[in-house]
Amino acid sequence: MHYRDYYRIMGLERTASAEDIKRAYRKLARRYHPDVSKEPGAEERFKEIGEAYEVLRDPEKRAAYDRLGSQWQAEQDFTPPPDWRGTHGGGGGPHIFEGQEFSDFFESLFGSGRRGASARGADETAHLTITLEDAFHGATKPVRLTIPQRDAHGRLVPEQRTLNVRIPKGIQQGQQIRLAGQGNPGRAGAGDLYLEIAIAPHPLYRPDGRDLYLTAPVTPWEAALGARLKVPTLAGTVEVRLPEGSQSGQKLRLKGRGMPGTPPGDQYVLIEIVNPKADSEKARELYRAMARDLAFDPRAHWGAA
Amino acid sequence: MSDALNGLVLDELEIVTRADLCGNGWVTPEELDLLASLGVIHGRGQGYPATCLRIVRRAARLKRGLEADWEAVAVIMDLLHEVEALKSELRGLKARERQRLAPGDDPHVFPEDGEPRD
Repeated sequence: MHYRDYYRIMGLERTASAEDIKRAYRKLARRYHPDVSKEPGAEERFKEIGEAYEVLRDPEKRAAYDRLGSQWQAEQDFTPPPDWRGTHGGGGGPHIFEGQEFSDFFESLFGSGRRGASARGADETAHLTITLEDAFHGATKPVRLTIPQRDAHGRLVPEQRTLNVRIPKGIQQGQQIRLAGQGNPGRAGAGDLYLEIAIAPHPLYRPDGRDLYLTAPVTPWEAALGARLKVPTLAGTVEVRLPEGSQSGQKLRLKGRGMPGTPPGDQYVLIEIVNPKADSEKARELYRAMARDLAFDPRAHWGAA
Repeated sequence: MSDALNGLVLDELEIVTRADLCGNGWVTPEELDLLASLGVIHGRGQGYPATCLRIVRRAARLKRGLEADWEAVAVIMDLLHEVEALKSELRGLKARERQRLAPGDDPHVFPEDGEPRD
């Protein structure tokens, strides 16, 4: 077990006043609260800060901690003195993060910080990135987790677990799935696991809610004369009629061909006219013929610029 | 490997009860009513949409972690919601931009002849 320097964690001198401690906590909480923080590893840091605050805000715990002396270094191997008489007074203050577990160091000094109703295990959040195809068809995915478990000596040890989770079809970016009882263990039952789904960017489709957008490059003559296009959808290829006189930026709606749901989304096919390169004399001649024969000025609405 | 687990998708269609929202110790029934009166959650019939599980959990985390009152939590939740909506829109626009451009194209580089001139 390692010594934890709670003052250093909170950026405080050992002489800090109760007001200094509160102010430091609030400042750090604003910076590292996982719901508002953009810092990497914010959740771990926030738990560490919560534990430090739990000790330093409580005069009894702080006095007991201070009695250990100031000769200890952070992360130094630590065993409580043989005559250690800490305080086992109430723990799990209001700021404690979802019934978080405390470090071995904390528990060796103050016992388990969790009391009464909060003895339910902490909820856990995990992230899973799936493909758009998995989201469309539904899938069963392995989710690897590291959950702290108590060993035979009551110590917390990280344990790797793999859960096989069914992802229902139609799940959307950012949605969560709650798996009851799959969070951290606790005396009054395990917490829940919240699995947050991310959908990896797809080379063809762009999801917007349940709708999907696909860009269809077409030739100028397909757009002008109309055509039948073979268009991919997540359920397979469909044939779509491109009306004559189509323009870039126009959309064709394939009703109900988006992501499954109630109601299902639509797939939009975004028309993008791609001009052939004028990289041969023949091609250049065709362009010159169009310039000659088609009285066309796409900037006519600018007036005489 | 174990059998596949089925979870509850936290979306607008699934309905959860007050007991579901209060049963895990995040908020008391009185605090839940306060969150409803502040417009943080909206009931539906006899229950709440399952998205409220996430909202209530987050609100409780913010209240505890920031030592804020519920009114401040409601403001923070509104702002976070707005930030997330903007991020999602930005993600969509970036994805659209990625699709529109062939690899190597850069929309900010004009060919020399097309450079704007005074």
